[in-house]
Amino acid sequence: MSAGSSAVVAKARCKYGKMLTLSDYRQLAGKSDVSYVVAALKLLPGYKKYFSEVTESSVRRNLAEQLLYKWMIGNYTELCHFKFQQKNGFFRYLLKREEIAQIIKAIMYISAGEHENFILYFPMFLQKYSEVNFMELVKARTFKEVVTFMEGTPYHKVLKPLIPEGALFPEIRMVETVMGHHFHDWLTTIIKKEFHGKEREEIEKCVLHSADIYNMKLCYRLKGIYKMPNEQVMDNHLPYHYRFSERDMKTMLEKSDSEPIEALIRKHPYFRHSKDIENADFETVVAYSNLHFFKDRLMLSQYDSVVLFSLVELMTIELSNLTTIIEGIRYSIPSAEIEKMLII
Amino acid sequence: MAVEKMSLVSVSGPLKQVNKVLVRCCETKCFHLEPNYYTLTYGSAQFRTLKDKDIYRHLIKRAEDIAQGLGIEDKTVAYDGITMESKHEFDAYFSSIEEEVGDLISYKGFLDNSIDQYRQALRHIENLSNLDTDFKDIISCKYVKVRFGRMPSDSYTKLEFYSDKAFVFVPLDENDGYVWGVYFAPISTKSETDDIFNGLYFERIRIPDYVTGDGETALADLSHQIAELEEQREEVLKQLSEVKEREYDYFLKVRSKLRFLDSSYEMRNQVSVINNRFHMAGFIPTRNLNAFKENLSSVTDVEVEDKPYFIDDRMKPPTKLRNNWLFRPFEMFVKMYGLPAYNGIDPTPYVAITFMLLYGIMFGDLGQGLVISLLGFILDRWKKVKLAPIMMRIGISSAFFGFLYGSVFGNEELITPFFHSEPFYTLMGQPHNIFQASTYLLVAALVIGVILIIICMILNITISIKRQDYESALFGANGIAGMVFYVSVLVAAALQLVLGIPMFTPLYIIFLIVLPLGIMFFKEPLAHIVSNSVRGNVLQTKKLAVATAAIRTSDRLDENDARMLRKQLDHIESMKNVRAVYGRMPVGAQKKLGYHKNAEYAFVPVSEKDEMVYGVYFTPKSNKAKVDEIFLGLSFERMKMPSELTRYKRTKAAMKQEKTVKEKKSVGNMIVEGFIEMFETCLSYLTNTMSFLRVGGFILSHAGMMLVVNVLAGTEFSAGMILVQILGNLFVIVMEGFIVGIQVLRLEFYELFGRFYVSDGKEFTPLQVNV
Repeated sequence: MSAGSSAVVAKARCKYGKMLTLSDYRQLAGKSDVSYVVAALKLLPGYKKYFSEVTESSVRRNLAEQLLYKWMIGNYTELCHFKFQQKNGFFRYLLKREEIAQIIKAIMYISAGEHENFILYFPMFLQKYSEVNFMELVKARTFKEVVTFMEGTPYHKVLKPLIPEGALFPEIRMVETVMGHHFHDWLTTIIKKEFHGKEREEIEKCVLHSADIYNMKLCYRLKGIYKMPNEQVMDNHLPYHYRFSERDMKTMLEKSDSEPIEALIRKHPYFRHSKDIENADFETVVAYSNLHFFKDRLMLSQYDSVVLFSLVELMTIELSNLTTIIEGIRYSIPSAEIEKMLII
Repeated sequence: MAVEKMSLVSVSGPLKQVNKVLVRCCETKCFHLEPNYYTLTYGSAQFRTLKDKDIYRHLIKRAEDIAQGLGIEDKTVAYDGITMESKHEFDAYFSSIEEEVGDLISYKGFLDNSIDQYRQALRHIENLSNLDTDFKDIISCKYVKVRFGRMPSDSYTKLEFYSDKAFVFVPLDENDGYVWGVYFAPISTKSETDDIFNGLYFERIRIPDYVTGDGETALADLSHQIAELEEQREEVLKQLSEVKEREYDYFLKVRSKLRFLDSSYEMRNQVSVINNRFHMAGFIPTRNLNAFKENLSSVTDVEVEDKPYFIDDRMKPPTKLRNNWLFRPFEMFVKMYGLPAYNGIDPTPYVAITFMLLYGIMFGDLGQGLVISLLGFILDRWKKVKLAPIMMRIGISSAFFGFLYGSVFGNEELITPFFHSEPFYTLMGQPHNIFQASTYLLVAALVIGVILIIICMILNITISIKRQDYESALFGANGIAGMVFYVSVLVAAALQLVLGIPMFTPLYIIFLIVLPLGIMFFKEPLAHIVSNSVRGNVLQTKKLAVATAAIRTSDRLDENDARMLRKQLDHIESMKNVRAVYGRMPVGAQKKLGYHKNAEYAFVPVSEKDEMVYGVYFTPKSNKAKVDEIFLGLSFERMKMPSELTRYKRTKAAMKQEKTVKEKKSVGNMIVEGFIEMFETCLSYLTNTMSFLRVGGFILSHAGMMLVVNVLAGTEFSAGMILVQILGNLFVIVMEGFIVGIQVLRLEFYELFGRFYVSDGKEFTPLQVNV
């Protein structure tokens, strides 16, 4: 392992050390107003940098959430600063993931005629890492225009087959599916290209674990909530598997015709920790499982790629916890109730 | 090795005197309050703690306001000569000051506020200073709405998207991730524009009316106005300073006294109260007892009672170490490790001697030792650093050994070292320098270690016998068995290796090595046997033995009474879990016991003295609360069980009962545990002894480091040489001085303390006010 990689591992663990503890969460959840949360975040070492210039008395929830998002991306870009030399390398994966997420969001807003709102909520700092000019993208009014605008980017080829006949926009679920496939194809190809041996094995496990979780969520949402036929669910799934194989998925979907699918998914070994939070909703259980999986990887792995991937997952959980706190305070939920919703 | 002797004292009096008493107690600085004494002795149902509103709090607030107004710093001083104690006296004093300077202080507050506001406006205008139009003209626009403020830089880039909207944003400055500026929008699209900017997190700044002119002019105006206000403030401060100068000393004293009273008032919650009288108990060093009583005699109606020594065995006396000036600073190390129990042994002198000795040996240099000593003196004199007195002592020790080694700032030619004098010179093989004597040094270090370890073993044997811990004293690794084994092995090895005398004969091995090892192996059963025959009383049958002893020693029971009592006791004993409480009660109260015949208890009166009956009551633990309540109502005062009752020899029946109660332990377990312990013990003898090799090692390392300094400095006298010598010596003093200190402390705590010292004491913390 190179000195640079060791440094990334050490720095990533150091950043993990600065992440919030139970007592920090309790302190934040006990605040009566979002402005007090921001004031408290200003004092925390991990967040000081991103919140120091904010006037807490006039800060709004949206801005606070945007700053938290900036915190996550900022931490990542700081760690990968020297790894960005390689264009389209593995270490840009988070930026790629977020770019895809913003493209999907943009299509969603445009299709709803809310393009101005997309601009309002768009994290402008992402623009410098993206090859898509979002300010121009939202000027499109049809999906075809979006696809045309994407010419010269890898997304053109991905989205083109979705141009509908007789309609302005395809179903957003279909956009999500093809973009998800594209991201995972890109990620697995790049991993095979850049890593070898034990490192490749470990990072592949992490990515496939994420794919498994994605597929499980898909089953839960499409089958459990939208009551879609099994074939359609299978059409949308990611063709990458680790401990939740295609066969497992098919069997589970078949079984779910007679049993609630959520209970079936929860039986999977991924959720063995969820016994402690039996009454929690499915999303919480999934996040809880991720927390355990990636905490172990972050602490035990020697590879910067794995440690970084795990850190991103853990930061995502922290981001979601803080959003829960902010939303909870906004809707005057008692701190004890907020605490129950946190993934700790 | 002394622990200060303590006396238990109770203080009681009318509730109205409680403040005065607390203040006096704090002033004596020798009263260690036991807040739980009365509730433990008489039960929490009878006594309540004092919780009421602090009468000094609002006076403190006024004092702080005046101090802030006059600019008097937050300082606590000695308040000698301040007689005021009642709140009215303080009130009158503060009122007189407020009358004189109240208006000025208010005006100063007004000026401070204004200056703050202007400064805040200035900070904002600084970011808008690029504006080349009059603020007033812009703000007074009739058909155009104007908003000054800032927005995140990210949001600013989004403005491009709204290029078709009817507004204009003029950026004036950009810093710290924000763009400062102003936007203009026609009144008709005001709401829409405000919404867009709200969405872009625009933070509006209100421009005060007094800001006029363009950016530059407004800045200059504001700066000028701030300067004017500051000038006025200076004038007010000047007037206030006259009062401050006059009142300064007196005010500080009054405020300090007030803080003292306020803090002592807070201590009221540690006082027990019953029937409008306060009661408190605590420990006082016996030598301060008379002075304490005299101090409290000035408060009327207050009784100070010197309680019988250790009246209650639940009351653990605090430990206060008492050593002479030479050893006192080393108490810090003992406290760091943990204080000894009140009836334990204070290891401070031993620590002091061994610390100075080992430090001196390991870091022996006449010049550097004196520097450390001088540094210690300076730090002690001016900074009151706790470690400084220790530095003074170890510095001298270092200097002494440096003299013996012939080392002055690493120069070994100024003084003749001891190993160049006869008979050492010949004995050590005529060494030219310390490195040539390294073998002897290391052997000497081992010998020192062995001696210190043996001293620790002797101390452990003494302490253990005192504590009646026979297992540790006789059969433990640091007891007699361990010492015999350790000394035998060392002596035999030394004689065989040095003089060639064959020591490891079968008899020697059997009696002085194998036998002690066997004893250590079987220490548990052996200790049990010895303990049974020596102590004569064990916990399981303690209560029955106490009862028998009480009946036998009683001078107040006739034969009939005794028979009746035995019956009662048999009944209680059969219920198991019996509780025995020793104490005293008024003679009259004992007669009232007849009213409580139905309760399950038996009272054995042991003796009578000064109208008080001393005795023990027995009750099943299940009935404890009810019976305690009865005795409490009869003014029964709990006391420590006298030794003549607890040391009564057991009966055969009791021994038989004990045998059945005893925990059974399998032979297999005992052998495995014993084997592991034996292995660990033998290994620790070896490692602990070898650990002392570092003593010799550091002598060589010091000599080596100074050799490097001397080589770097060179032999030619020059400014460079002096500089290198000074820096080199400083480096060695700081680095090696600290390392040796830490190593010696490690030897003390790990190799020596662990062998004999039990730190289960509680610190003596006299009642005092933190102001």
